[in-house]
Amino acid sequence: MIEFRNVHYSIGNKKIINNVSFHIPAGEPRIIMGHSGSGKSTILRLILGLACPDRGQIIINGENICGLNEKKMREMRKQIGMVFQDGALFDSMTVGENVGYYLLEHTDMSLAEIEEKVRRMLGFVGIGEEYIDRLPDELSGGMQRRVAIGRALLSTDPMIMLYDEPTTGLDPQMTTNIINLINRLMERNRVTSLIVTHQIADAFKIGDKFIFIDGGEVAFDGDINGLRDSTDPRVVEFLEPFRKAVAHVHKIDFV
Amino acid sequence: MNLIRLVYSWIKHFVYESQQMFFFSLKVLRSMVGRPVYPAETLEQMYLIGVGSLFLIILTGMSAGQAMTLQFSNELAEFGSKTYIGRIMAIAVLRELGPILTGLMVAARVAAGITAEIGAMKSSNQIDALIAFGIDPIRKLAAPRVIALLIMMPVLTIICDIIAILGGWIIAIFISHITSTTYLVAVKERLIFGNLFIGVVKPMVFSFIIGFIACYKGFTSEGGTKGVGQATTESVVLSSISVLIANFIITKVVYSFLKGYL
Repeated sequence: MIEFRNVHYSIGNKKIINNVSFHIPAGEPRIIMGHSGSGKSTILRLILGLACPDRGQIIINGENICGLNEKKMREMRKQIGMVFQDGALFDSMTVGENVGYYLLEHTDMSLAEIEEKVRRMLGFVGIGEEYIDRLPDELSGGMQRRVAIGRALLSTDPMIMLYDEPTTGLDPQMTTNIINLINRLMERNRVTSLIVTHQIADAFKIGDKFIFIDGGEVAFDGDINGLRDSTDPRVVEFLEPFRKAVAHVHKIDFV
Repeated sequence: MNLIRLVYSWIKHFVYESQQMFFFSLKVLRSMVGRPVYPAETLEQMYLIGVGSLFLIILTGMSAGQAMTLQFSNELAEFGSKTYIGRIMAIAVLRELGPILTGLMVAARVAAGITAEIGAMKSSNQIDALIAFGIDPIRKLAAPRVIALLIMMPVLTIICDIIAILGGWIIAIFISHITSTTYLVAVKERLIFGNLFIGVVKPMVFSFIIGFIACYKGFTSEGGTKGVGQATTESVVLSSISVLIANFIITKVVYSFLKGYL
């Protein structure tokens, strides 16, 4: 469960997040949409404790994470998997080392055990074993994103998954693969998923509940019907190029 | 009025940056002790800093040693004191030239590399990824680099000292026509505790300065590729200036307290 209660966050004099409140029940997906620079990714950073809000509360699985000390925050992060924009893979490590990094750092598992888990995880995210010793630079953008998902899954066995623009910059085939993977993961593990995107078409394939952020404020929080019928000029303007597509979405077709 | 405001804002920025750098340095110092430790990263950094800088240090030490011997021997010849060239070289190289040259070379080469690497990791969210996986990025990235500098800087300085004195020896024999024994005995006379102490303390202090500044600039770089470039330049300039200032302060302090040993 993720809940924001009147969260404010600014950098210097610039307000990034302004009085944001929303609630995501456990096991549900939620799509955060909005223009570039609207504060979408900052919400993920706040959930992960990479930034501290100026005011308000962020409740993760019943616990307010604002003001937690570093040790407790580290424990909290174990429940959260994060797929960063562009993957954020460690570029000096191989694919296998990236995926198994958390286990290597935080567990007493033998190298053979870790390798076995890494191979299984790479299979789950659809990366062939021949890529295990390659560097991230040698992979395509879509493959990097899949390795990043594998790394997040193997790292924390998460109850919450955060995806920052998981399909941005990918070709249609890779986009479909990533969406399939996200949906498969949600169905299999029932993890609470928060997906930040400005790719409307992709958003409809992942979830049916949306939060629209504009200028650091929640301009809309609801389902597809509410989104379609919204008269908020900010939502209308954002959806205008996709109005036709939105009008035809009656039910979400999970890929 | 604008000038006053500009100066005020510059001072404010300087004080803020100094305070941030101080707290960052404390964090790095704290992360250098306790667990987890990263021996593989430290060894890798020792190799990159030590072996990677070796050619530059040898080249700098050799050319500086030769040039200095050439200049000094010409001047000393006028007073008939050419035989003192070994003493002068030993003092100059051990106390000043070796540490300063090594400090500046490492500041230019290693500080730039550290800032650029950490800055690139920051701009590609790799540092956030480390935090997300429960890893302290200062312990993982900064501590091994500062420890590696702390070990390798004195080693590089000693190598620079030896090469500079060797360079001076070549010039002393073949150009200034001093016997090898005269030169080496004079050098040996000045290989005393005080000179050796300064020669080791300076690079150790420089290693902290270079390490802290380079890591701090990397961790605080902002604005993508351009920001990393700017942080790298600032890192080299600031660490070079700091090395020069620290060198003067150490020399002054050592002269005040260890005069009897020099």
